[in-house]
Amino acid sequence: MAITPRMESPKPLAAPGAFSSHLRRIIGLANIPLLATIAALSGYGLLVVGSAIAGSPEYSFRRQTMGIVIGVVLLLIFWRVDYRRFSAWFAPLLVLDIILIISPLLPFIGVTINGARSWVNIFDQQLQPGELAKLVTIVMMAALVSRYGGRIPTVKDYLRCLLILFIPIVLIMLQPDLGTGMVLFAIGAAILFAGGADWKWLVLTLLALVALILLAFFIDPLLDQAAGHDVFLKQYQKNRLLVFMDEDLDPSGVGYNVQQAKIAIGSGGLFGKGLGLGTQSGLGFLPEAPTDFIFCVLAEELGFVGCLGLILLYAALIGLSIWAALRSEEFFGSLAIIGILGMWVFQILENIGMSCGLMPITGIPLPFVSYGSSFMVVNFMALGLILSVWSHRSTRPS
Amino acid sequence: MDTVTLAILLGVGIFIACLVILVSLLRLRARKQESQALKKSFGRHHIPEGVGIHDVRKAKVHETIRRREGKGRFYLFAALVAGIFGVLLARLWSIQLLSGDTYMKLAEQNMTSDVSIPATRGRLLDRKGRELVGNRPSMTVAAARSVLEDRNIIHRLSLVLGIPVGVLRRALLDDTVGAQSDRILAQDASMRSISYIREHPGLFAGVTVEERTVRSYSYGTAAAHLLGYIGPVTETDLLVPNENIAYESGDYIGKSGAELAFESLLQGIRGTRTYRVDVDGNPTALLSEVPPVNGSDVCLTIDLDLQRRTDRILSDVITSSRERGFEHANAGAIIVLDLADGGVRAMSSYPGFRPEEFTNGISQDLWDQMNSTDSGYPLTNRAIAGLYPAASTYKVFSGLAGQKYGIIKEDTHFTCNGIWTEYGEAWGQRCWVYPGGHGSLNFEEAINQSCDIYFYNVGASFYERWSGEDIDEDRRENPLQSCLKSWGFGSPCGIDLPGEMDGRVPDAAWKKQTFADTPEDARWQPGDMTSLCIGQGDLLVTPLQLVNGYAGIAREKMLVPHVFDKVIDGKGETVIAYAPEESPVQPSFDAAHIARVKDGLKRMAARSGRFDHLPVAAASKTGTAEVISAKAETVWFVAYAPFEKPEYCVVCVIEQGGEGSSSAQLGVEYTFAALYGVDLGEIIVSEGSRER
Repeated sequence: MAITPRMESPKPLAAPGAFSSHLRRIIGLANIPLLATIAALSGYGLLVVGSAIAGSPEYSFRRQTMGIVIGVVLLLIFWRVDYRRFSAWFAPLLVLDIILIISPLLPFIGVTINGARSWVNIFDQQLQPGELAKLVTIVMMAALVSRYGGRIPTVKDYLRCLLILFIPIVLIMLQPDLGTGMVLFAIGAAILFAGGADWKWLVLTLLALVALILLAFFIDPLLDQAAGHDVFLKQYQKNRLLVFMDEDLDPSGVGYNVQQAKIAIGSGGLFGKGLGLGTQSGLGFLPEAPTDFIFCVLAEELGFVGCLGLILLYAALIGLSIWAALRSEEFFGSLAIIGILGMWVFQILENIGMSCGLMPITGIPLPFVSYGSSFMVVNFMALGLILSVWSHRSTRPS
Repeated sequence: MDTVTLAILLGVGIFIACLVILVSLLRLRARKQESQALKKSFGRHHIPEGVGIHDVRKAKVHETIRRREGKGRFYLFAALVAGIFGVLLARLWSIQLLSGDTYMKLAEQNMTSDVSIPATRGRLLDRKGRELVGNRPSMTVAAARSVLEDRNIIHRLSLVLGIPVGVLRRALLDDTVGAQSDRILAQDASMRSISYIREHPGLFAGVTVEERTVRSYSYGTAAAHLLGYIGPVTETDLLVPNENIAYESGDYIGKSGAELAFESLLQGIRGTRTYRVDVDGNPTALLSEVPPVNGSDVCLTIDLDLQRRTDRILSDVITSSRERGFEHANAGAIIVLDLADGGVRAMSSYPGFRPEEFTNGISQDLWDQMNSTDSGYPLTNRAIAGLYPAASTYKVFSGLAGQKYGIIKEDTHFTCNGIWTEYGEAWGQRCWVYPGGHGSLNFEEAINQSCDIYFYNVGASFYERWSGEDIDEDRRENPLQSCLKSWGFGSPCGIDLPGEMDGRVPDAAWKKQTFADTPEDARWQPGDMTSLCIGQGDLLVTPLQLVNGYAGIAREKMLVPHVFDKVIDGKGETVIAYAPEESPVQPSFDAAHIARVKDGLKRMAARSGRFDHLPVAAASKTGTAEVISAKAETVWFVAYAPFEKPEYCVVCVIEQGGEGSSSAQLGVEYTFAALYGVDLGEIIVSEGSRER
């Protein structure tokens, strides 16, 4: 960093007190297209969730809306905060990350749902600290990697980053929450990639990981046999992989979800059956419709056109965020944005991919759309961070 | 190409395209920014103290290069995202737009459930439209197999239905029906027990009460063999594709007789009710209904009154034979053929069975019993599947062959001394009159007297002329057999009932093949030929073949016998009618030859005295067959009447019916009496032994 002479910000464009100039300043700080995209996306998501949960008393539209409202408040707070101060907080963030991830394993507050200890119960509200841990991991990794200023010099440094990344990943796998673990990995991969890790190291890491997975597959049955019960992979995880490899497997048993999801998407056709008129979701053939399979509801009720709309909104969100990352003077800000995008893109790919049979099934929510307020709040905080980066960009006159 | 591959290829394509565009844009931009930045920094003179312009310039260039490299990865990231979105969109395109219709149908199927409505099976009627086989409603109590687990329910059912607990358990354990199907516990349950079960659904969980249609046989055992029976469709039945009917497990189909022969007419076509169902499969609304098409009513050529009469006559004749000392008389058949079109007016086979036993699937015990040696095989329709030597009844056919090939001429006489020693004293063959003799007789008298020796001579002539030892093996011929086959022997008559047997007309080739393992027995001998001429030896005929052959003589033309008359619709109008069919092979003969045969038959009928009470003259022939395995002779009587314009031909065969043919004659006599409305009273049998 030493050789980079600090660019001095130019003077304010207009004298303080002038209303018009104040407005222009706010407009300049706010990324209007990004805000519009966020508004459209959360509105669209709310519409689909509203249709998906209609008539199901176990879901609450109000709670979902409250998630957005709290999210917007947190967005404003994060926007106001100068994100740059986070870059010095690497160690506290790591500690916070670990506390968040192990909190569901603690007695009294930890809650087990569907066999996974992923929830905590605070003031009668069930929260998933794992969702917040995603954001903490993003900021922590960005703080770590940005120190190298765009090029990780040695293998030792690279391995150090990798090691720190694997702390939250390994901990979250203990819950067990394979899905969030994979998201954390995607976040780390995006930050290391953009942070200037050598191509060769990245490729080697990926190969090592693939080898590790294959080895696990190979050893898993032997371990199961030796131990007499499932060690690594649970039976349902094995089934999901089997279904992924053969999509016509047992359509009334383990392949039911995949089959019904594809029927829901496919029967949507070009324009869909109309909002609230989906038969697959409305009549209950589609399991977990408002959460994991929310995309199927959208695809069934709004058709290919609706899917295209969602994907275009996502593309706009990601494009504008990358634009903000490129405009950031601070490398830390750029990396944080890339980490956030890594999280979103992976979740979009996995969620839509599993719905249409391109990916194995994992319970990962679709950003801004899936029912569930923990992840919604985290998403808005992440947006606040992006807006903060945008606001603190170099206001170089053009 | 697989849509997944397509989607990935498309995504990769988009990725590469984005990459190229972004990289070129980046280059352009970077170059512009670089020059602008340099220009600005120099222009504004923002150079710190002590730093030379050269150093600043170097530092700026360095920074720009580094930033460019760092930003490249951001653009790469953007391109990767574009590729991912491309893959997803391509996949969605493929699922939603290319396969949309398929998935739409699957979604529809999810929501709807088809319930088939069984079609009522068509009835079988007699030629006058009287019901032989119909349907009747029956209150049925059925239960799921899981009821086995609740002893209380079984005990309650036992009390209500009056069926022992053990029997109910056995019915529930029945594995011949599908695992999901309900087991039938009681048919024709009383209204009292039905209402009790209906009013207490809580006490009878898993028990269902429904009105089913069951096959009803109004006249019990009447024409049982001809009508046949039905049974639940089996897996083997389901394997055989039927062009008209899609069977479902649990359907009942014809298994034998007319029920099987006219299955495609009787079955009808199932209807379908389509319901909207919820996710648990509970129907919520009726969407559409395709009503079933009931099976057609089929009229048979049978005359119900006559059929019931011949059934009774046959049973009485056999009983009376037994009472007259032929205690082994145990089986027989009577066929009445309408000469006009070959229609079967009555067809009785003894012993019989009750088709009703089969309607709900016959029990294994009963089935085993019906197929045991002791039972006399009641399921066999002896009229079309019983095989016997034709005995003397066959002399008319060998006589026709003899005339055709010039062995019997108008004045041909043979002398009967009671024993025939043409092939040496050791091989002497007796006439049935032995130790007496018929003396010298012509053909008509030989038929009338049924002289064996006359026909031995005919057989010997056939042998010497066409298959003797002194003829080269490859020049030997079978004119006798060919002629016999042209009268319908040795192959099925083609009646429209399943299970008709071929019979057998033996010849040298048959014998060679059959006795291939014992060459000393495989040679075609003169004795084979002489035995064949008197209807013995290896000859086998079915009663239907014999009556069909005599019908051919009577009408001088061979027709295919049949039981199908017509199909009628609900209003009784004929939809499909039978068209008489000539046999594919017709015998050739001179009118004079057949006249001589008929003359012989007429004399025989007159001599028998069996037709004296009839208003018309008849022609008839007796037969007494020696069956090696039997304890007594099998007896035949076949006749047609009126002699001048024949209307009916009747055959009666009684297995082990005794010497002479009196019992078979009795059967035919009473049958003709019934045909011509002559009251002979009942056949005298002791009251206790008469079977119902």
